[in-house]
Amino acid sequence: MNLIELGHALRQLRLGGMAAVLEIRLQQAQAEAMTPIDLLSSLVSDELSRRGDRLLERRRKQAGFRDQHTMLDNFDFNFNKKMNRSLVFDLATANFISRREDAMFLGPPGTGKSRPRPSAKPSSNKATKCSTARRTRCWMNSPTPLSMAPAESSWSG
Amino acid sequence: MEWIVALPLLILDDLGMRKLPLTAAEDLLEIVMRRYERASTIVTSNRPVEDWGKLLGDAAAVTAMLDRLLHHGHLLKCGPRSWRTKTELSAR
Repeated sequence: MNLIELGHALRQLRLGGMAAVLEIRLQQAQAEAMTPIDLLSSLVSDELSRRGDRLLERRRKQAGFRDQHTMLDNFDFNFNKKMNRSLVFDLATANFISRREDAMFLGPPGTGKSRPRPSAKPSSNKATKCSTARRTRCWMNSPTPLSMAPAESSWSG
Repeated sequence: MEWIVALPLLILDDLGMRKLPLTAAEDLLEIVMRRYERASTIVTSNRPVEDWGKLLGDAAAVTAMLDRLLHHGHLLKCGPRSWRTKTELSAR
């Protein structure tokens, strides 16, 4: 099997992440005299990384976040200086989800209560990676009674 | 109800922005009770918690709900200035 055929075969096996970097990784293996296990590890890591990125992107779309580009990286804390900056960053790690803790965001309209994003960096976005976070629903603003709610419908306030 | 209880993260956004059904306090308490220490819940609201009893029409249910939400909860006070006013100022 030559390089092109191998690429096709990988794609057929739904290993597009490996196929995309196969040529580069082979060149690297030759240049750095990589052992077979290292080469294989790199290719598997590439595939996992690509799948992770795609999963994250898919869940971001499914979550339907407003202001997709608003991140903590460019959040202006000086505008509201009384905001608890360390708490914001602590919540942004989304570790409270694994600790099964709750959070309440209170304040006047327009102060960004609905805007905080789970993480500043997509790669560390635990809340979006969370296995069923995509099914998070906003119920209280829905005119539909809770008992009538179909499990897979999407309500947005 | 079961699927709401099972979610690892439930966000109740803008609680109190619209008129709520009569059973809201009861339903909300049921959700919070069943998720307490089992899964995370985020509640956002522009109404102070002191008003929630009136808002939901059941002070006892609200007290029980807040007790659970705040036990292991994080309270983030947003504001006081509106980001919309900042956008308006920048546009000028």
